[in-house]
Amino acid sequence: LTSSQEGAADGPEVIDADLWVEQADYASLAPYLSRAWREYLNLGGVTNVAVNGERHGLPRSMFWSPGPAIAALTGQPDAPIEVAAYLDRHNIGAAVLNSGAALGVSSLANPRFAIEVARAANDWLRAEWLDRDERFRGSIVVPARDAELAAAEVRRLGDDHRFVQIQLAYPTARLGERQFDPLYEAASEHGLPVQLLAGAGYAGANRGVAGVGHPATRAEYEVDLGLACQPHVMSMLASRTLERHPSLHLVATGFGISWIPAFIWSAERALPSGGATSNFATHVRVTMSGASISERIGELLSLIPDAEEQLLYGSGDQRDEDVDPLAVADALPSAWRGGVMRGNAASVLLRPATVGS
Amino acid sequence: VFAAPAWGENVTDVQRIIDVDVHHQFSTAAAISEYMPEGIPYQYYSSGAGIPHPHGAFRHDVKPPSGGVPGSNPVHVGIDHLDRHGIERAVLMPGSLLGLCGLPDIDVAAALARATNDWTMTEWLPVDERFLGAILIAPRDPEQAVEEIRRLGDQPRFVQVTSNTLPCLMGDPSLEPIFAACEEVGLPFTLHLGSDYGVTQSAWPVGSPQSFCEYHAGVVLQAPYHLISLITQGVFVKHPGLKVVFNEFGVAWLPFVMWRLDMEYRAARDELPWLERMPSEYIRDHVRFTSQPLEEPDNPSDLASMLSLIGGEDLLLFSSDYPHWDADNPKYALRGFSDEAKHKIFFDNARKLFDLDARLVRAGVAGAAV
Repeated sequence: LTSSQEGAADGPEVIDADLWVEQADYASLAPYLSRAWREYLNLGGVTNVAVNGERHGLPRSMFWSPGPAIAALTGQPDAPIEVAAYLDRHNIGAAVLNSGAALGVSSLANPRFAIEVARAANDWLRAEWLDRDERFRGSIVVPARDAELAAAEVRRLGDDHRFVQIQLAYPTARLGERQFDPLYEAASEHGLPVQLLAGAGYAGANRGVAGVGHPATRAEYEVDLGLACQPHVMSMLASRTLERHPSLHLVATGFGISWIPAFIWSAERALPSGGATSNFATHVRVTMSGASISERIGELLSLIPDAEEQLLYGSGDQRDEDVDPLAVADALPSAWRGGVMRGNAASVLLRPATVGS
Repeated sequence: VFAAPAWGENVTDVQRIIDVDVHHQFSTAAAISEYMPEGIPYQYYSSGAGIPHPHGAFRHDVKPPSGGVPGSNPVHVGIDHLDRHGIERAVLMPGSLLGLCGLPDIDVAAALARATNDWTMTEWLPVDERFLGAILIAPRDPEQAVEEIRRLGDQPRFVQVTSNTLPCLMGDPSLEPIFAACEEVGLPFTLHLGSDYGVTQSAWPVGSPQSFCEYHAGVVLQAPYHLISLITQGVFVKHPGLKVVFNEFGVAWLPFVMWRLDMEYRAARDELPWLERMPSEYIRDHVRFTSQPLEEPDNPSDLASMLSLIGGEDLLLFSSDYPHWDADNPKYALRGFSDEAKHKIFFDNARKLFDLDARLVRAGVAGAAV
C-alpha cells in the first residue's frame, strides 16, 4: 500500500494521534509469542474460552466497548487495507494505531508474562500493520509494573522511527513514583513521549481508578475516567519527575480535555514551587479522543494560555464510520485547527526516518 | 433419569460419601441465555484476576465425550465422578459464574443467578437423583437475593444458598437480610472461594499477586477475615438457626483463628457485649469447612493431629471440586484421618448439616428402600 491523495479533501493532511484499529488478542498474537508461552496459554489446543473467559483473552475492562468501526475490523484479514482506505477518504497523512494491547498488558499481574505479550504485540503491529502502509505509526506497548523490562523493550524498538511513543495503560502506581525512572530514561534517550492510556483501570489485576469502590454502570465509568488522569500528572509535577527528565513528554489519551483548566488552577495553587502551568504546557499533551466536544470548548480552553498547543486530534475508541471523524475540527476556534489537527502531533510525535529502519 | 440408591443406614463397610462441591458448567456461554428474561441482555463479562491458570482451570481427562467443557454434561458427571467414586449425593455448585459477584450491573447479576438456578432445576436435578442443588445469589443486591432465596427455599433438592465471594466482610450489616432469609428457609449459606473478579474487592489490598501459584496459595486468606467478622459482629447471636460453610478455603488456618479469637475476646470482651459465648464455640456450632484443597504436610497425619486439637473432624465436609484441575479423589483425600473421623467428614457431617434424612424423603429421591 502507498499513501494516496487521490480523491482526498483539500487542505493539509490530518494526523490522527489515536486511531483504534483491529484489537490485538491472544489469537492474533499467537504467532509472535514464544512456544513456551503459547503452551502456557494453551493456545491452539482445546479451549474453554466461554468459562471464566479471561484465560484465553487479553484482560479487558468490564466496561470497555469499542465503537462499531473498530469492532468491524476485528478478525478481518484485510483490516490494514480498510484502514488505509479510511486514511485516504479523510485525507489523514499519518495515524498512530492503537491496537488495545496496552490495556491487556497493564492488567496482567505477572510482569514476565506482561513483557512477553507486549513484545508480541509490538512485533505483530510492526509486521502486520506498520510494514503495510507508510502512514501507519505505532506505540511501543510496555508493561506497567516493571519499568526495567519496559525500558528494555523501548530500547529494542526505539530506533524504528515508525514507533512514535511508548504506550502505558493505566498503571497501578502514580507516574511520579521513582519506579518509573528507568522507563523515562529510555524514553528520553529515544525522544519518545510516554502515552498514558485510559481504560485499563478496571481490567484484570487492576483495581480501578478510585478508592471508593467501582462503578456499576458504563456511565459512571466514563465520567470517572475524566478524573483519572489528574493524580498521575499531579504526581509527575510534584515529584519533580519532569525536572529529572527534562525532555520527557506525556501524552494523555482517553481522559477527555475539559478537566485541564481546573487541574492547572489547582496544581498552580498547591505547588509551593509554582511552575505547574509552564510544566504542563511544556511536557503534557492531551488527545481529543474520549472528549465530549461542545461548541464552547474553545471558550473553556482559552482560559488557559496556549492550551491549543497541547491538544492532539485523535479519533478514539468510539469511532463510527457513519459519523464524520473530522467534524470535531468545526468545534475548534479556526486559529487552533492547524495545530490541533496536525501541527502539535507533528512536532511531538513524528520522528525523521532513520537509516535502516 | 438415574435413580438414587437407597438412603438410610449403611449396610456395608464401604465408606459412604457426600461430595459438597461438584461444579456443573454451562456447555457454552449461550447455554444460559434461554433462561434469561427478555430485556436483560446476556452479559457475561469477567475481567478475572489477570492471572491465567498455567494449564487451564479444568482437568483435561474429564471432558465429556459429547463435547463441551468438563462438567457440562450431567450424565457424564454421574458416570465419570459419582459412579467412579461411589458418591451417594453431590451438591452442584455453578462453576461458570464464579465471577458473578463482580458483575457491575446488579440487575444483570441477579437475573443471571435466577437463570442459573432455573437451569440447574431444569437440566440437572431431573437427570440424576444423586444431584443436590445450591441456590446461587448475587449478593450485591440483597433484596433480589432474598427474593431468590424465598423463591426456591422450599425446593427440597436445593440444600444451600451460595455466593462466590462477597462485596464486603461477612459481618457487614448489608448482608443481614441474606442471612435472615437463609435462616428463615432453613438453608446454610455457603461462601465459595472466589476473588478479584470484576468489581469485587481484591483479596490483596497490599498489591496483586503475580503468578497463579502466588494467587492460589494466598486467595484462601480472605476466609479468616470473613470468619472473624462473622463471629465478632454477632451474626449467630442474631440468627441462632443459621449455618455457614466456607467452601474451598482450606482449613489449616482454622486453629489459629479459633485460638486467637478466643484470646482477643478474653482481653476485650466488653467491646463486643452482644456475644454470649466464646468465639470458638460459635464456630463449632455454626460453621463448617470443606476439605478440598486440603493442606498436605509431608506426614498426612500431622494435619489430622492438628485439627484434632480443635475437634476438626466435626467441622469438615468432604468436597472434591470436580472437575477443576486440583480436584480431590476421595480414595486419596483425608489420608491420615481415623476411620471414625473419615466417616464424619465424608458423610455424616454433611448429612446432618443438610438434614438429608428428611430432605431426601421430601424430595422423593431417598431411594426405594426408605
